[in-house]
Amino acid sequence: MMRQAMELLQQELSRRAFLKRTVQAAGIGLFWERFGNKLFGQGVASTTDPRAVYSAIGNVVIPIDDDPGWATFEPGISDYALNTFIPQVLLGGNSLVFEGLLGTFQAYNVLPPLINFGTLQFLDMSVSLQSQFFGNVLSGQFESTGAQDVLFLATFVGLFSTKAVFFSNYPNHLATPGAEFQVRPPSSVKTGWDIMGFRGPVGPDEENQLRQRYRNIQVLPGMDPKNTYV
Amino acid sequence: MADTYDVIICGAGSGGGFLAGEIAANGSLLILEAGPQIGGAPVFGVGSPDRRKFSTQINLGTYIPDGIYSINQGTATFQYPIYADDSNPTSVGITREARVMGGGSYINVGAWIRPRLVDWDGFAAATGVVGWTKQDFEPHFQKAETILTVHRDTRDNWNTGSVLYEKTALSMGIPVFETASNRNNCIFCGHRNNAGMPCKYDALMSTAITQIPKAVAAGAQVVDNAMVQQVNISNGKATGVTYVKDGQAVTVNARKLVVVSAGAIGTPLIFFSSGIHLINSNVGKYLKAHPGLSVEAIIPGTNWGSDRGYQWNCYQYGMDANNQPMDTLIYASASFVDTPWLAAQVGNFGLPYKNLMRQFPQRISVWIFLLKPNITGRVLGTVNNPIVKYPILTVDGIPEPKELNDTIAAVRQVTQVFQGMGAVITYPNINQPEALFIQLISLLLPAAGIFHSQGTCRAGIDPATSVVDSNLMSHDIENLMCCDASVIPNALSANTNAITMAIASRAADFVNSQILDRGSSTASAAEEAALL
Repeated sequence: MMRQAMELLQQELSRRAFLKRTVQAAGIGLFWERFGNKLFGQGVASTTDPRAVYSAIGNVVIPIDDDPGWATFEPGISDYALNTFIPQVLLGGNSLVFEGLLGTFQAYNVLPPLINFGTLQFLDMSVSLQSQFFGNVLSGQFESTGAQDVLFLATFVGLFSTKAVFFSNYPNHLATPGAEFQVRPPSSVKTGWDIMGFRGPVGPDEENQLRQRYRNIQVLPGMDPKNTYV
Repeated sequence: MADTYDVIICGAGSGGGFLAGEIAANGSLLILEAGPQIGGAPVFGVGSPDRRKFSTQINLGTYIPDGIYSINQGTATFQYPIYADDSNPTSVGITREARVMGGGSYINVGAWIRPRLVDWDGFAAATGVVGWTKQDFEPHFQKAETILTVHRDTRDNWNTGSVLYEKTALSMGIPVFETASNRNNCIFCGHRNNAGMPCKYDALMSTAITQIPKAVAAGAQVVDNAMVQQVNISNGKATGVTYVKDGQAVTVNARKLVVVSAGAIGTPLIFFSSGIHLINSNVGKYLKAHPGLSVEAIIPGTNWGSDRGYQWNCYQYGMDANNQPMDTLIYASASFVDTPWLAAQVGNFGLPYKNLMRQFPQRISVWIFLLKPNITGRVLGTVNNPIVKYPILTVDGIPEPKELNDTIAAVRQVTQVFQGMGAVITYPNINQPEALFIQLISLLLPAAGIFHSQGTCRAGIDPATSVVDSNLMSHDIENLMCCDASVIPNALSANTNAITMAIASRAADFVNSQILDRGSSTASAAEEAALL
């Protein structure tokens, strides 16, 4: 059965090489014995839009409350995070790994009922139920199902990347091409930096102020003589 | 452009760049750098127009996420696949080395810390290397420190958090030291904590704005975006190199010396591609590094979110119960700018996480580097198919025991200091059940990655245990030298910034006197400083 599932994997999801390797290393026997055919042999997971799963994770990680959250900046923020930030910044342009990661997000959607976490797929859950599922994965509560490592991969990457992108001040995260300063455009919508109280990089006026302030300061030459360990 | 030079240097970073400045006047020199050269004469404290734009653009606009991750698409870094989890040997991450003129010296924090005394003994014990004592290196450190204006800042120019950290730690009997750094006319923008972002203001005294311009002024030829493919070897002698630029392979010849200084990962890769590993099996072995992680806290009533400053004002070693240094280096910057997503809040999400982020102005963090874990990694592959193996996690999925114990001790000590500063929330939380704590550490260490790679072509007296001799010349190939952190014989108790420059200064004396027959240039340090 496991061999058949592996062959199905090769046939159905050859481009999901990373997922294959991930679950191979993570107790693949158990995982594929239980889920390989259900997930991939019948093409269930491949009908899931990985961006939709990623977007839902973003909403779980950074919800809207009195301030904007992940959903405030949709659909652009998920597109940027999933299709630019993750592959280029986190994965260093490794397309094979990225393809595998997309497959992992697809599996994330269809796995919950297969591991007896209710009856709903992830995208059909309420946000509070999604949060509960997300937290359960994060705390390792699906170890006995054989699916924990696959779920954790999607959870961890989702957690890591959504925080990074949101609090890097999306949608004002990029400098104008060719610009000498990254300017924060005025906006009525709070961004990540506003929420965290960060002023952003030094602008022209502050640069001049800093240069004036630190002009001709006294410094202490050389090493700290108190460090007798060197 | 000529097709033959006295010396060819492959890699213009801390080692190769510094060396270039010291030897260029004594022979014809070609400098090959895999990354771009960002132009303009140095303007200390201001920056050339091109470097100002480059720095702004390269950071993906994100000053908060660690620049290590922000430098994207290989614009200024190599991105090497790293296998850091022996429990999951197919799990691959990324580790980076600089790929820009100036190399690591252009994109590091600029902290200048010399090796500990125990390191020198460790070098000799590991490989029997000769002439690698504190006394031997003293003039080279001094020279580099003069050229690069290494200094400390007075307390009135420290960050608020650093001042409080030092005061609190000292009151607990923990020695804290002032961090020296290689800067000139710094405007204290605060972004150096964002390691990986090239200094916008030409204040970080990288080789890109010091030694390399000096070499060019002396007649050296520089070719950037030149990816060295191999050292060409004939009859046991290095005769030149082949590099690729703009898709074209170019071969240049060296009359006297080929220096490979492509970094502790890049250098062994060039050696592999040159077949040198078939002669000396130590190529790529003995990779040492410093896994790191941050400890963070919320201290109510503070508001240092507006602090700019240099940030890494002071440091300490983790101290044991007998008040002796352990193998951890703690940059006690207690600064604002850091990653909101890397370490502390890793397990948090939803509104609790968002509320933590609202407390960011009261948040402080320090970095812990694990100096001597019992881990030896390896670099494999080729220039075009690199592989780095450094098992931060064992086959059991937990950190190596010394790594784990050092981490726990350091996190505990930093937490105590934070609590003395008034912290109410600290991460990682040392009071959680040990199993959960270990699980968290096991997650954080590989996520944060490895730093300060070293030792992959280490120096020693015996070809059976080293790649180059005490003067950095290949044991096996004539006219071939290594000059970067790859030659460090054993694990170092500091970042590699200072020692790599000192190694290059020492190498320059050898090259000038033994290969170019022009004597040492050490005496010119004061003159060079005056020129800067």
